[in-house]
Amino acid sequence: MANDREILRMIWEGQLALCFQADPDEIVGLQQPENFYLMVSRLSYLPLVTDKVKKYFSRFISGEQQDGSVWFDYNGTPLKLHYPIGILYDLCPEEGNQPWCLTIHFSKFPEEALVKFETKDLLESYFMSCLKEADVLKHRGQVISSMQKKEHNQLWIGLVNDKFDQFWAVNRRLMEVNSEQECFKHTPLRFYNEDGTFTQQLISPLAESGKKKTVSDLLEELSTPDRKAIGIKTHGIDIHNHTDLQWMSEHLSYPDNFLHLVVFYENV
Amino acid sequence: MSQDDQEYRQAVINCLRERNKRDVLPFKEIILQNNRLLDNVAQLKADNLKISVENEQLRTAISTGGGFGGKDSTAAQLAMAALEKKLLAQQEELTGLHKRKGENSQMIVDLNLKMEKQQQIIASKEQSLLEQRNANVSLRAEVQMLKSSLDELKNLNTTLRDEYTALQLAFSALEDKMRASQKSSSTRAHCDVSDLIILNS
Repeated sequence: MANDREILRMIWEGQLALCFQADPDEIVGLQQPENFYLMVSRLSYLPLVTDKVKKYFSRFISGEQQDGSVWFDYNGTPLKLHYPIGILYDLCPEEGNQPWCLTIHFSKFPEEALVKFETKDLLESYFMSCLKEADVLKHRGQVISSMQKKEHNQLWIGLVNDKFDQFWAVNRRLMEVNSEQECFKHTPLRFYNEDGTFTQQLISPLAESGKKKTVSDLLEELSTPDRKAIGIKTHGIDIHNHTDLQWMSEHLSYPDNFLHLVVFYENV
Repeated sequence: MSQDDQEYRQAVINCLRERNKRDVLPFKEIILQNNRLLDNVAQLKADNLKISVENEQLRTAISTGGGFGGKDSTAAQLAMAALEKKLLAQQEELTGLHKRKGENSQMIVDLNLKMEKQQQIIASKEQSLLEQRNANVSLRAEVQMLKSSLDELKNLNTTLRDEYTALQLAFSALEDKMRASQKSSSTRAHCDVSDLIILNS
């Protein structure tokens, strides 16, 4: 049961300072636009928080490109529009590079690298499918399928409008455990590699002995003979090895109910 | 939560606080201010553009109006004369309205004064009424007292009258009795004297 409100609030209120600059190849006219700065929620997605940015830069680009699909890159690397902003930042190798400077593009969408989300509805569909997937892992899908459409909507609207209470009024049910069990059936987890791709494994929050797993146990499971997993990072912080996996799932998950973890390895 | 649990929870909280100090605090306020300024600038630019356009339209209108000659010029002059007449009429009406406004304001002041005076009169009348009412109450009490006193006296009077009548009757009876006894005494005395005279003759 996600009942540590202080932690939930701090996670929800996590923000990043972003700096947007225009693509010099797209600028028409003599006037160069100034950079645009914005504080964004770590838990949100780029298409949800960049309406103002698009509006600001669109008057400097040609009319034909105005209706093109917008995308962003950091140091030449296109940024996935369906990854939470927090994990996109955590995947950056350099520390302390704030404000995080991104380039906005209105043309030449890199279809081989990124999934297009033409409308916010598409992103919402993706978000809901992640929620359902997480609930299948935790509760065999029983909780989310027992909810009404308006409750699903409330989760999305709560995220889009940054309304903590509205979101958690519904989400707390997705974080409940059965009275007989102490934990979810499996823990919804995504492990990110340095290249920005992620993998998922079926991880149970309980060890075979029946004891609750910790981050140490998880790192052992992720290690291979060639490389050893030595630490994990999420929401911009390194997680203590003794941290309980079930507690992490309840309190450190992103709004899609997944733990998005950057894993650090060292070669053996 | 057990001791271990508290430890990692506290570690998470501390890390999150450090993260916020590093990632959020230095930037949040300044970025918000910056965006507010940008919004202001955009608004001012839009207003500026609008005013420039209006300005340009007015210039065009003025220069167009003075530029043509002949029929258009006469028509323009006539239109201008009509407008001037209308303006004069409006100004006169405005003056009249100002005057009426002044008069109304004065009337309001006078009526206010009158109302105050009337209120004072009402207040004093109410005071007087209250006093009269109080006097009335005390007089009624006195009347009541006097009435009951009168009733008592009447009763007493009736009682005295009755006693007097009874005494009068008793007195008459006694007087009759006395007369009767006096008469009988004098008759006896006369007989005694007659007897004496007879005896002596």
